Amino acid sequence: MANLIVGATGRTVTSGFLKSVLQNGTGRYVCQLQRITLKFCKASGQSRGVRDYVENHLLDFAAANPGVVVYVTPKPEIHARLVAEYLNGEVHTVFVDKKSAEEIKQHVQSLVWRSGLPLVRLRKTQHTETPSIQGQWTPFTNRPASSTVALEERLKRLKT
Amino acid sequence: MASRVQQHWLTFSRMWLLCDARWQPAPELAKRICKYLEGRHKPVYHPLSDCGDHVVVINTKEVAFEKNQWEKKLYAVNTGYKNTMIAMSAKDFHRMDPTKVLEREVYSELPKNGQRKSLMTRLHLFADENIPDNIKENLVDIIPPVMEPPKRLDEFTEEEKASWPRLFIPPADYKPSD
Repeated sequence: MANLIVGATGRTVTSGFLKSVLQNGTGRYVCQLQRITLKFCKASGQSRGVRDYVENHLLDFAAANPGVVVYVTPKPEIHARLVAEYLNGEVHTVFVDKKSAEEIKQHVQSLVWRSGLPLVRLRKTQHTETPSIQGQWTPFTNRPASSTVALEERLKRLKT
Repeated sequence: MASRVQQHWLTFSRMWLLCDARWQPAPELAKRICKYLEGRHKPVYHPLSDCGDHVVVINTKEVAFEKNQWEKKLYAVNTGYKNTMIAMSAKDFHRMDPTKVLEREVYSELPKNGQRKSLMTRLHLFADENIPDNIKENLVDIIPPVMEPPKRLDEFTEEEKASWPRLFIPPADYKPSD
């Protein structure tokens, strides 16, 4: 969970920095998605895309991702949704009413690629664990010695 | 070798920069001074990190304006009485206090936010070249001038005057007619 903001309203967007789960992917990659549940209605028109997806694409997805457990739970008269559970315990829900099978395919793929960390506004677009070995910049790095000489000469010429 | 924390202090240390306003155009000079006050000349600049420098400006009484701006440009002045804001020309304003014109120019050039007044406290204006010693000993670098001030005729040496290219050399008995 992102840090809760004191006095936050519904429109408050939490901010944070770029993170990854235990440097996932620098060596081997571990898919953080563990479980995905497709909840939809068997009869409603709004769930039609999910039913298409289950008939045409779901078996391919399950074969391509053996580490992900897939549940298909039809329930009468509910809003169609994808519920994804991640290794860190986070649960993300995507509502897919009135969406086509192709769109749902993209939603599922984006859930697979996610790390399970909360979506936040990024304060900086870059992050490093290993800062420069040359040391940080200071006002004196790459400063020409002639500037000091020029200042000394100017101070001598002051008409005080 | 300094530790990483000490390096951080050095990165955000404030520099004291000298700037000569003699025969420099005031709006352009103010634009340049703002860059150094805000710290935009540094590669570590970020609007949220307070990394600006101190700027010491000398010779503000010799600052320049182009064309007829000394008469045309007006500054709003509060006289201290109710409903008595008056417009004063740059010429009169400069005559009142020779550091005020540059101060107003820099103030209007800085970003209009809460940082503006704290940035203005790091601007040190002096009408002539008399700088207090406690400020002079802090100086580290010079801000390059906007334009090189042209030389007056009496500032040229005799050699330079002699080697100056001439269209014709007048005879010894030449007298210009009135």
